[in-house]
Amino acid sequence: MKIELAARDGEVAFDCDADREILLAGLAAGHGVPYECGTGTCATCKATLEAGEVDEGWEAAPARRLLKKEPREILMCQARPLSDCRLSIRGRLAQPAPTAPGWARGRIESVTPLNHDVLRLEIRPDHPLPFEAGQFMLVDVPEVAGYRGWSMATFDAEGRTLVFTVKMMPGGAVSNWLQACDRTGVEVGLFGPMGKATFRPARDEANLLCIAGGSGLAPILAILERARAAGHFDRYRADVFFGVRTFGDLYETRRLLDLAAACPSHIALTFVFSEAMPSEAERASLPGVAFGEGFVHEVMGRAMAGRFADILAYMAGPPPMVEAAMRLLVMQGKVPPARIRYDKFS
Amino acid sequence: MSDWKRVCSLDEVAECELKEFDVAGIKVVAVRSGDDLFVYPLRCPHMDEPLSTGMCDGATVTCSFHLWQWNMKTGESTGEAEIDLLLYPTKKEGGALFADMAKELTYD
Repeated sequence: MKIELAARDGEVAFDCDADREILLAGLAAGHGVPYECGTGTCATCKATLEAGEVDEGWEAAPARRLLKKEPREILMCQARPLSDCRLSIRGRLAQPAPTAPGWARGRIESVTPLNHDVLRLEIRPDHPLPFEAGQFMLVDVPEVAGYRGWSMATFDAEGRTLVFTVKMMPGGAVSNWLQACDRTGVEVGLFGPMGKATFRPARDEANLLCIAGGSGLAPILAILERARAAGHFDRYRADVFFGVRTFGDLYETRRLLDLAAACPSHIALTFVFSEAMPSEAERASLPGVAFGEGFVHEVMGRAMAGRFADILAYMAGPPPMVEAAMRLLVMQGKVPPARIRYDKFS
Repeated sequence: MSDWKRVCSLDEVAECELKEFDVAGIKVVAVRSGDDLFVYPLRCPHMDEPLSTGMCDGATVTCSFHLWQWNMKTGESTGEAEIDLLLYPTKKEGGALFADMAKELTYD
């Protein structure tokens, strides 16, 4: 099917098969179709259907509540064409990604628990999927409809191995599927890379402020490891705030401690606990780490007071945490929006 | 021809609060800086999201969806925003804020 997409600053046209989502087809064709989550939660890819017919896809997509009925708006990340279509968006087209994302098949190489509810998942794509630190991939597992967006937790420039840290959601379809039996060797669908909250050493010469909550540590780890490998911390520092409920919710602490140990006085780690502070023994197991109590954005705001100038901020985690941290950076920190990087998943 | 309509009483909007009002069927958002009150169309010119969830620090209005920013007094873009914010003419009378709603302001 032929898709024509009109934006305020121009128009693009591309082909989209009936079993493909319009957003993904547009991105794969190298166009800067606006999006953030790619999974039906944020509504950044909403478009007005001017002509043609689509299958709107996931009926319960959270972003549906932000759509107008008249004129009819659709989510390009969910909709598949039933005919040639003409669409329009209010805003401008985005800058196309340096490397257009694409579809691939992947094989689950291993599934390893990192704590009581976080799994480390390693997937090998059937062809390399080069990505930037901070990006995510859409993953489609058998028996569960639709894509999930998972951030890569390591940086492998060539994209031969994709490592994810996935938080198990009680009652979640993919969580249930992953835990039902050993999924090693199972084939999954992939699309990516996606996401604009990236770190590039030559472009991003600045002190980093990294704020992660719960499952949001993955892209932060990839960014820190990418920066370290590029020698970024010879000149700049990173303040890393990782918020969880209790000590038992921490994961990948060894990788964080190793990073900090390799860049002494240039990477500062603060772990923040919203429900219970760790015991003396637990604290002793995390040498060099500072501890905070409460919400991660509040602890971050106090610790960073007076040090927001010229920082580059990365945030990932539960949407309320990202929203609260974003507001604090804008209002208290006066951080320019162009220096606040996150991908909205709500 | 002006068409002055009452938006709210002067003390209904707290400092730096972005508060939504329905003025004769037209949705607007009002914000205060000291004694000055400003009234914009409710929807962000970017993607039609409500500005009432946005932020104001007494100088700048920021939409919380994609962080477009404007000078709160003039509506001029101060950063990424590609479209300036429109302001309804306002006046204060008898302890209330009025806006000229003769024409609904839109970005289309």
